[in-house]
Amino acid sequence: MMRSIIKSNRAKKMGAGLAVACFWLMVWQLAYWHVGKEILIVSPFHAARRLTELALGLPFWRSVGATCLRVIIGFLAALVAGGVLAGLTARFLPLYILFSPLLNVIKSTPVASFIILALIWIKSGGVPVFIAFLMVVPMVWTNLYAGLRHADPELLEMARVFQFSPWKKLRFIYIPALMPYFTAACSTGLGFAWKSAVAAEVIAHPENSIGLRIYNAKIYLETTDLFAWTIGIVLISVMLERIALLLLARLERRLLGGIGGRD
Amino acid sequence: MGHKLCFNMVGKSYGDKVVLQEFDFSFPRQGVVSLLGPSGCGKTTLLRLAAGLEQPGSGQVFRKAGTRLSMVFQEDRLLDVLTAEDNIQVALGPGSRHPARFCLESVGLGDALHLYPQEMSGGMKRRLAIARAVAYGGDILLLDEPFRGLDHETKRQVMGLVFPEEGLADNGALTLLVTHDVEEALAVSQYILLLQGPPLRVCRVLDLPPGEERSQASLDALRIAIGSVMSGKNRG
Repeated sequence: MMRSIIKSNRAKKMGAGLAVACFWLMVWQLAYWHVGKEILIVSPFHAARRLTELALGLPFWRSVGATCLRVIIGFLAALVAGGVLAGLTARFLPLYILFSPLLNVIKSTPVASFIILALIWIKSGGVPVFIAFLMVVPMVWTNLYAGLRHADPELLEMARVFQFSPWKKLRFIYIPALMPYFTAACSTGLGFAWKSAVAAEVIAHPENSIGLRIYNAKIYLETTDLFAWTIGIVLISVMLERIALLLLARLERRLLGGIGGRD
Repeated sequence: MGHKLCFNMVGKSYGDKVVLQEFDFSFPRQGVVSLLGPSGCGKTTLLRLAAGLEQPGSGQVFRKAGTRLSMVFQEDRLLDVLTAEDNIQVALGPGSRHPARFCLESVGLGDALHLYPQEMSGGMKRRLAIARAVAYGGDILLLDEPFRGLDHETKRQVMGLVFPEEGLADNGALTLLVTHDVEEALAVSQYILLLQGPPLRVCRVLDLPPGEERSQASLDALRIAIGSVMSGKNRG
């Protein structure tokens, strides 16, 4: 009974998603018909066909793989750095006062400025990694800091009375309080890492990169390729985000269910 | 010093509000001590100072070295991510007194071992919080209105776990019970502190006779004494 309700809800959701996708594809197609110039806007079908053609070749996957690797390295480094910063600034107020202006500067500075600066400082291959890292750190820090500050003080007192070890406190009080914030940080951070890393690739032109392919498409006015790559970026970004959220849910279950919980 | 818990000239304020001022009291080594007093007189602050959750502004709260302390808070303070059994299991350590299941069964939660707090009623959560404190055990047990919200029958059952042998055996532990219920205090205590405040002061200490010597007449006399202090006739 329960299963059939869940299945029907899932089917309804999928149906609604499909209807929305069809609506926007129709808008795109209408815009294409209205403009009527392939150099300005291509048909969604042409873009999809081109994406399929590209996906059949090895260079496509080499570029996708290398960009993914850069995004993931930058993102993971930002998770670690943002996490450490959040922990330290939540614990020591002077550090919060010291670091918050710096992180606010990073948040409000245009990404292009950082990309150009990074080009001067490091090799082109490292620029997207650095930029993804730099853009995601403040996001992770802000979210985790808020999560740490929201840990229930009453539960912390209870833990003190019952002499919880630091690990127990982390596992059963801080992590459950942090999880919604961490999930939000991962979800928005990963999308941001993608956008900023590809932007950095477009400017820095590292070998084997989606950014370089987009740059070339722009130089040679291959609008179909530009659209195809853009669709590819969106699809990979959504996929990566789904995988990240799935892994997070699994991690949460493992961390909290270990003592013998029902899950 | 032979006492497990002493307050030496303790002062405590929150902003301009003085809750304790030169509060001086040595609790007996063991037994159940009920703290009776009007709301807001400083009973909970006293318990929090005893637990070390608050630091005194002046004076000293002395707890004998190595004293193990357990507490039932006014709120349930349960971990939503753990089942009833795990909520107790997670608090247990080497010095714990009773197994989790035994305590849960004793408070009538034998069928709720695998329920999460959000799946339990208010009364069930209260009983779980009490079972956790008893299972953890300790030399000092601090109870801040632990039976509030429990119906008569459940309260009787839970009191059987917290105060075995009708409140007269205590395994050598000192239990401080904050309550507004005079009958509850009379049923389980060896001592009753009648409090007024703020600033908190002990108006009277009632030393109750052992259970077998408690006649209806002696209980009535105690009720009258408590009533007169609580209604303010003994102030000053």
